[in-house]
Amino acid sequence: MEKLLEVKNLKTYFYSERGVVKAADDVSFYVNKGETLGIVGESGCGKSITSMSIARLVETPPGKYVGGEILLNGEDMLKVSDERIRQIRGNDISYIFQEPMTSLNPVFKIGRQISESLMLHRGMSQKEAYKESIKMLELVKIPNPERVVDDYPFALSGGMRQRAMIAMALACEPKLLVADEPTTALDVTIQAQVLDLMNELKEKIDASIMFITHDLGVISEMCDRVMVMYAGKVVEVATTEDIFKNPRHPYTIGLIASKPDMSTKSSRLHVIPGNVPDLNNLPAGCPFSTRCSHVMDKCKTAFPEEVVLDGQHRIACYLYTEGGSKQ
Amino acid sequence: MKNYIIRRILQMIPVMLGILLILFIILEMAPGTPASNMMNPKATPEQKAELIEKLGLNRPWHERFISWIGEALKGNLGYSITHKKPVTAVMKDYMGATLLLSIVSLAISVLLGVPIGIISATKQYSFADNALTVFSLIGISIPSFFFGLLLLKNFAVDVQLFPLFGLENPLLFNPTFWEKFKDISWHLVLPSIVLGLGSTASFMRYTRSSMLEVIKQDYIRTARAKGLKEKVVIYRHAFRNAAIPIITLLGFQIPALLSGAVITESIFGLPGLGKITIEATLTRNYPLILGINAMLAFLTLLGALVADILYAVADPRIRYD
Repeated sequence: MEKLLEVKNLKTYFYSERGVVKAADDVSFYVNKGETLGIVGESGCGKSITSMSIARLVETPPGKYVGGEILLNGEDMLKVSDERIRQIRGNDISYIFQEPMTSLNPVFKIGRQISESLMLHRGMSQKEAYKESIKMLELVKIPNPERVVDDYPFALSGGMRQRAMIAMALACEPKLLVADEPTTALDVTIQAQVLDLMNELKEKIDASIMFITHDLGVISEMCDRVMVMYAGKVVEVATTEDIFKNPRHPYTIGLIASKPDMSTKSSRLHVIPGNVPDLNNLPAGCPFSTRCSHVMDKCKTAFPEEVVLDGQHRIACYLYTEGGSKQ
Repeated sequence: MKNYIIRRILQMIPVMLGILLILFIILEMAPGTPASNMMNPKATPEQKAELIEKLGLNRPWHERFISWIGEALKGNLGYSITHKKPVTAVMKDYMGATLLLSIVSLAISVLLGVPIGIISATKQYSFADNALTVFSLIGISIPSFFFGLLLLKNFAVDVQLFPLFGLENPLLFNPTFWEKFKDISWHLVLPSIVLGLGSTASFMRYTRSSMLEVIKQDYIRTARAKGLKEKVVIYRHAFRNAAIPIITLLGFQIPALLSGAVITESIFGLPGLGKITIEATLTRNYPLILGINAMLAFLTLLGALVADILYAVADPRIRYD
């Protein structure tokens, strides 16, 4: 498998008066060509910041890329010029954001917002881009694309807007599509349609997807591999099957156990005791140590090195040693 | 869009009538009549009654109100009692200076205030932003009569860069258009700075806060994620949205400028409406007071209408209501 994107030791910090927030702290992962990588974690665990760092969309200041490399086809996104990163944005890396209601500019017609990328990256004329926009709207299965192309966002429903967002993101056939909770704001039936659409289009244009969500059901439907984040750190990476059948990290185990399940008879949901730590004031060592039932002394002093259990399953926890045995 | 404009124009009619009614009642309640100013204090009550009847002031006020409206619709605003000329003719003589001053000041404040506000917002908390904030606070808080005198003292008396008063140099004989243009512009520099300063500062603050609000929105992130240049993101995507509240301010500024012009005119001795408004009020020149105020009210409503139309142009959500 060829790697499309490789992130090595990414550190995106935020500097505020209250201190340094390590939103992405030493994050390493990769995305293969044609693969969908899921990123899960609670709110505030750094998944959005990690994804926005990929095309350098984190605002600096207050954010700062403190270290690491983001290699897209070998080119380091953190080192390229502003001019080059703009060429990459929307062309090689595209984004779909969470809130379809607010992610489209309310004062421009849908067609114009799609055309903009096409004119910018594909050098199309206004007319060509307009025609192509209609085609894109058709592709994302919006009824009456000829009419919708001249509509303003407020005239569309949430699901339709998210389709328009997808049309916009895919207009230039990006290599990597970063979807940051694209279906969280939609109701379940619309969510299923949008997810099907994304899978279908991904095949069509042969893109990779980074899919960020906190919905484990969506992960199981969409992703080839899953990365679990907690408080700015990657705690576990494995294939989707492995994560659900054989979660190893105490946090992942807790997360998967918290998912409501039709087959259990228990009337109470499983919860992970405690709260996500304040990112301004993280405990030393493993950030999960304050909530972990297996906590050991060394957990409180240093964050564990990542260990490889088998080829694809990686974990950062002192409970495990290289090769897979539990200590 | 057409329906929207027609509806807005129709809405202006009752508002205008309401304003005129209030104006009429206030004048009626004010002590004194035009007659009291025109007569010898020793005149007999019979002579007074005769003059009041001659002026038509013996009729009940609502009758006079209705006949005034009727005449006004025909373009007749009555005779100015002190000038012995039609009100429209008097206003025509003095309108020019006021309109010129207001329009120049408005143009200055929009052309200066809006771009400065954008810069201030995109460089929030930078040195430039802080300096501009201080400047705008000074601009908002300094009273125009004081600032006007300060400028006159420094730039017309101590350093004689600008003329001290008036709108034109009376010593110019048969000036060409260009000479006249230069002369009037020269006379307008200080007054329009004084009048424009406050509204420049308001436009700046409004633009800044409106831009700051918009820059945080998700669609700005979307625009950046498309790979658009920062300039396009700010001036096209963000400003189009930030302009909507600024247009509202524009509607408010028009009456503020017209009334501000009255004060500024008296400082700089400009032959504008300000001067005759004060005269007319002191002499209880009813037709002229009514005429001037009716026209100011009409201009204000017109300003609000223009703002509302621009509003609909900028924001498609209003257009489709």
